[in-house]
Amino acid sequence: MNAVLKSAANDTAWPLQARGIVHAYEGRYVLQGVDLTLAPGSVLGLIGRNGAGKSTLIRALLGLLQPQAGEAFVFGEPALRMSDASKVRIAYVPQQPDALAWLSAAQMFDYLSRFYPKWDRAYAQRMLDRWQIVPNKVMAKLSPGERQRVDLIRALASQPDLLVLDEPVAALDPVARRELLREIALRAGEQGATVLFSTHIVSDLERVASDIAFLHEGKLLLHCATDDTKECYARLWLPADQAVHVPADALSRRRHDDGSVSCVVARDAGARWPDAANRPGARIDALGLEDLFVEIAE
Amino acid sequence: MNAAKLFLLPWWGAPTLTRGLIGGLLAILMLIFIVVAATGRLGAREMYGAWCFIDLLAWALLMPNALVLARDARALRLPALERDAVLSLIVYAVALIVVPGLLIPPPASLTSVQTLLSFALFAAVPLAYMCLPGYLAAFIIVGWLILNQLSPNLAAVANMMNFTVWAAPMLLVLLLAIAWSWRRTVRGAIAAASHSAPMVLKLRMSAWKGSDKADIAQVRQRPDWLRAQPDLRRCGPEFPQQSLRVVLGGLFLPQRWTSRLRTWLWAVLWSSLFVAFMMLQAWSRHPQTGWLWRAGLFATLAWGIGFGASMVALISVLRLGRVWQNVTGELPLLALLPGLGARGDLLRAMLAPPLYTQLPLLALSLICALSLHLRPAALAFVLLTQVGAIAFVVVFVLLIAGGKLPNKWLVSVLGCAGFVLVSVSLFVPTLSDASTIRLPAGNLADWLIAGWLALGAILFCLGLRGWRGLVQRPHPFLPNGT
Repeated sequence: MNAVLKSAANDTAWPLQARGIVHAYEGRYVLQGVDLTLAPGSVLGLIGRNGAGKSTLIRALLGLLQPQAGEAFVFGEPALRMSDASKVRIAYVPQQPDALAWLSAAQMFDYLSRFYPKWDRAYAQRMLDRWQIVPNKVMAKLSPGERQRVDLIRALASQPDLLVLDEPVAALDPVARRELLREIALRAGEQGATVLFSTHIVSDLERVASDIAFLHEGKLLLHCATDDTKECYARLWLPADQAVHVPADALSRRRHDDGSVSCVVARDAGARWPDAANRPGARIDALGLEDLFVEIAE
Repeated sequence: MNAAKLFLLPWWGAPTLTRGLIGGLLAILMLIFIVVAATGRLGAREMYGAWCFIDLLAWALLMPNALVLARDARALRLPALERDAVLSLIVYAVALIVVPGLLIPPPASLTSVQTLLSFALFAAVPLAYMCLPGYLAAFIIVGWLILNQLSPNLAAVANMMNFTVWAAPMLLVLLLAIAWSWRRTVRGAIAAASHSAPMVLKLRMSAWKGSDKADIAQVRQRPDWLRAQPDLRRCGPEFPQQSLRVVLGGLFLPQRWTSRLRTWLWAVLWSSLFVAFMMLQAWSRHPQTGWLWRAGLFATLAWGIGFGASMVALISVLRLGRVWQNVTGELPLLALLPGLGARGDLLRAMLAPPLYTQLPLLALSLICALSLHLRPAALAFVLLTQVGAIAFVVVFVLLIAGGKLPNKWLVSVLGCAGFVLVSVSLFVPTLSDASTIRLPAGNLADWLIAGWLALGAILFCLGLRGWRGLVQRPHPFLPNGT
């Protein structure tokens, strides 16, 4: 296949794909066979509790970590052997970015701009002014929030086709957070960029994410369009005498002091709730995104 | 708390790796001391000198950790532990100063009290250096230089200057200063990252964070005029080596000459002061014998350069080790920047700065060794220390980039063995002619050769392991330890 055809083929490939990724730290599994695919132009919010494996999954997806099993692909290429052509199209902001602390923001942008043909100098300068970051101040002397902003500007100024943000709003104030979310929505909506970001803040997901993926104890429990969550998932409450009928594929289950059970269930392919929902005394409760998250994670 | 636990307290305050290094080093030195002393081959003066060295290391590396522990105990509202930290110092003072003072026969020109006093000084000076605020510690270095200059001939000088008259008040002043700083540090009056923080707190911050955080704190504390100005002129995918060095930072950061000169200004100033002091001291003692002080100066310079080379190697490797451990630092950037993934470019970028730094040191070392008219064998040992430093850098660069770093204990043992070999290889050739060490030179040389060969063989195996790891890795920017 010649270079042009290969490039065209890669353009149509999924921006990010994970197949059966397994990884453990010191014997404790943090990812247990995760499959995940990001559609081009989508904004996927990755949600999960602390230690659920979000950062590990993101790093495995980008080839920054060699998983013990499974494989990740970026624009159709194995993430661990990515070509420079794919690297130019990616921007990644880690949680608590620490890189290049000995440079000022201006020096950092000057340095990085040489690697990205589409680098937007005007945008970088505008954002520095807007967020009142002194361009000549060495990065080590900036506050954590300022450093995170500089790294976000760095990522956005490269005009990536794939933007990966690991808890990008953790150190931002509400105003900066809103601005970032607006920028993410803009990039995805107008430029067709694909975005993956992890967060704890459910309202941020509702604001910008087109899809959500819920990672819990190393497993991807839920992956669907954000708007569909209310339709597709609900809490099923069963009285004590019906507790044995909890569906086997329930996403979570909790037994109450009175013997009753509640669990999170999903509609089947025919958009029907499980049979247990029709049991005497059973009740289906619609759940907001935050309630759904808490119900599964608790 | 019983005595055994009091003995353990300073170890509790030390980070794991440091604990292994200190423990290994002290154990090796004590073992050598006891074995050699038991054979009766060490004279009173050599035993005295050797114990001063061990004393110095123990009080510089181990005991200051009691201050860290006391500070933490105070913060955690554990008054008994805070008190025990002080008690542990007293127990160690008895074990390392009083007992050896009674057991080791004093050198000919020193009394028992003077021996005891000098052991106490060799403990108090490093403890003060580690526990006093940074700005006062500088004065301790000057004081230490004076003591160090006097120490080879301390026994002879003692009578002339009436050692007890100046040493006792000096000890008292040091102890009072330590007590003042101890109280101030334990009560949390100073932040660990501030200029006035004791050295032990700054070192712990570096060691325990074990990541780029320490480097960031270092950059933050440095005044702007002393900050390295990177040379970004030849960067980009067309210049991978230069670009990689910008991201690696530290010693690897490409700088303009003016910036490099400015950042080395302090080191040059301090070295010049040191050399000037040495010359003045030697000249004042032997104005009529210029060759003698010149020889002393060159010997000390050769020593300094030898250790300097080892330090350059160590600092480079530690910096790289931190880069390959920090998953939110430079590593993701390196992995995702286009054009920087070639292994050859990476190895050149990692190796060139430390090796280029070694070259002028090697030349200086050669000049010093030739000025001392060292015998070829002695010259070979002096140069071997730098060859060893170069081999150390090459091997650990391969291990880091190949993701095959051995476990901490092996690194500790290797570090201790390397330190002992470097020390002996530098110390013996430059001073053995003038000293009265009764070890037959031939035997010592054989031991040294065997030691270097063993270390070389281990380093070769590790290097091979690192190289294989690097070849097998899908890309070289995968973090180590995950």
